[in-house]
Amino acid sequence: MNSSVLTLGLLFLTAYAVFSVLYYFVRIRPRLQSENAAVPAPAPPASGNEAHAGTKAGGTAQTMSPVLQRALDEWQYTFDAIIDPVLVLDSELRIIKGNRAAFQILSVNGSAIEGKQCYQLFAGADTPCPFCPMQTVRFEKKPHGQEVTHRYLGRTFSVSCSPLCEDDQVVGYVFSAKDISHQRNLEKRLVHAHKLESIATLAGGIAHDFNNILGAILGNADLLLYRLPSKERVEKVPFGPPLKLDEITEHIQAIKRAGVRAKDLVAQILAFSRQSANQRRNLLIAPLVKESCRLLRSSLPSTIDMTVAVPEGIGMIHADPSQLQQVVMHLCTNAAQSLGHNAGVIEVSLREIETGKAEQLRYHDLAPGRYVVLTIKDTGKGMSPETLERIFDPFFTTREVGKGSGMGLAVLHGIIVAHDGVVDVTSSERMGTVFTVFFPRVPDGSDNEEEQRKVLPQGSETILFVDDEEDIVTMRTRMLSHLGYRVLPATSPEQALEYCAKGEKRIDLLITDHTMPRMTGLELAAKVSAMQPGLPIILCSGYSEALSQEEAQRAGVRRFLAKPVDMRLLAFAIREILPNRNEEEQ
Amino acid sequence: MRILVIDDDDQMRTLLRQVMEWAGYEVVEAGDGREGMQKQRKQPVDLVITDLIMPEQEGLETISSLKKEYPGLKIIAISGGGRIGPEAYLPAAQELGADKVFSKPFDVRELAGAVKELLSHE
Repeated sequence: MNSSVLTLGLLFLTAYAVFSVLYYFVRIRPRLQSENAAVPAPAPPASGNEAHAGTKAGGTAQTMSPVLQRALDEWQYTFDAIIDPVLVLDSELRIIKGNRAAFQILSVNGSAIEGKQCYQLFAGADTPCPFCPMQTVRFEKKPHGQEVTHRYLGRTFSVSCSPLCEDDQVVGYVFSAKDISHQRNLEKRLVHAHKLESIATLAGGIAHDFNNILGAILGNADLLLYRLPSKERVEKVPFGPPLKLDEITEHIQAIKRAGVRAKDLVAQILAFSRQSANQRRNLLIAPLVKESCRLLRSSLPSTIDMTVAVPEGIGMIHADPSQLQQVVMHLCTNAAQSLGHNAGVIEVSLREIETGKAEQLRYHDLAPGRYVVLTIKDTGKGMSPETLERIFDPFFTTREVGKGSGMGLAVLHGIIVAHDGVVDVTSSERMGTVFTVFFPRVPDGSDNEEEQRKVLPQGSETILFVDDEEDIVTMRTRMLSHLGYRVLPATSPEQALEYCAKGEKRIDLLITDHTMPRMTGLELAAKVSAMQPGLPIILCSGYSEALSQEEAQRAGVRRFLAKPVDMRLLAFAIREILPNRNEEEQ
Repeated sequence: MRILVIDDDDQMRTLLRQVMEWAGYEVVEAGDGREGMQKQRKQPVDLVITDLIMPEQEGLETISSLKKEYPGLKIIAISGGGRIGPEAYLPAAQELGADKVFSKPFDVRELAGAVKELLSHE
């Protein structure tokens, strides 16, 4: 209760302070300055906190009435009381005003931050950051937020940027950056720890499969060795007739099949143990759920009956396969733990639904739309209403000490929310528990392409589009072609380089995915930049923290777009970059 | 003599059939314990080789039912283990009446030898 009031209070103060300071800088100060042009600008501050103090209202005190001065001082104190760095920028991203937190984080040796470009101080760069939400704000003229990692400062910020408009023109920005580095580091460690727990569960299933595979390889090899005639053994073969040629082929094929199974299993383990926090793509959830359950089956006690109901035709969702597997495995393991040593049933099912009023009334967080619903139901001991209320709280556990951290469901909740999903739990004591997870279903095709085409900016330049997933290349080629562009589609970095090397026709823009086999998008960007200096590049990636801004800029990347890429943002980003290039060339 | 092989893993079941045929036995196959029980009731065999972790009826339950209905039936249990490894499952199989136990992967000659030895007492 108290924390809610404090938060509301702080928000109110923040909004009030920002508005007042803006009002002063955008409206009052220019007027005062024009009325008294003879008054010299305040001298630059000397050092330390004085530098920050020098940016306060004191510098213009001689031009103000005491009432206005007092009001201004009050807002300055409030502005400085905000714990996150807040900057007021002009349209060229020059800092007009920064609060104390901004000064503390951005000032170099106590020098003033006002007058400097924000990207100089945040990234040590000479050009705007490719990740900056300002670029979106400029086009959409509405506030926009994004998470940005600045390696220059060694920090991760949750950045929000709002436009300052006059006569429908953006004349500046209010920029606030909440430092979330510590939180992100903790989350990373937590997700890793939870993944280790899940790997331990998975290991049982994998060991069982591997022993079967090894059994098939060694058994068939042994049969061959024991049955193949040899000088030493011809009299010692213990059983049966000698081998025929087709039997030899059959044993060798069995060994090969087992080898292929082992290879698939290794690929699966690697996919699960990948470190990356987010590698989301459009995928079919049904095979993944079936395979996870198959592996789990072997590591569950024999008293548990597991049923899997996955109907045909379940659509795609946008998800990270390893995180999704983590969700299925953890919920099933939880269900098994709830059954304990008693016999019982775990039912895993998938279905598709279109949310209607009933669902929206029941699940408040569920936006209207089509969803793939994963349900995991057990006949275990269930939970009391008090326990149910707390199960997603970190460190809450009903298990004995040493039998689980209690972090599992909190991490799971985080994963589901990050997938734009919703999780619901119903449970009653001695009756069992049902976990229902809603994932937004990816539409089969864009139904409103024509409508989009009408409102999106168009062009006729040549775009080289690279992504290792063919479906994405096909979809984007179709969309960009509809907007009038000539698209050179490439499903590998090598194919993209071939287009550049041919040099038959001019390429105006490169749009590339970052995570690709053999060569990353950044490496491709660097190579293409070397072949065609000045070619603008847009980099699309699912996880921005893995990219260094300095590297991106060095490789010629002008814009970064987080995956899944919104078509509208991409269309605007293209038009934002291409005219600039023409200007440079003129 | 006839042997019933129960395993949900197709490759392992095929291998077990080949090993037993090589050793000179007629083989009946079943993909899980329930199917195995049905086949045994229809036409009883001389020895059963059963896996322990299977999706339908588990091996331990199958061994228990077989020993109840056919007390003299020879049974060999094999397991690739699960969450806690085969060493945790196989002693339970022996307690329920399995005559021999093998961890996967096993030596096919040892398995064939064990079958021969058990059936020689018949």
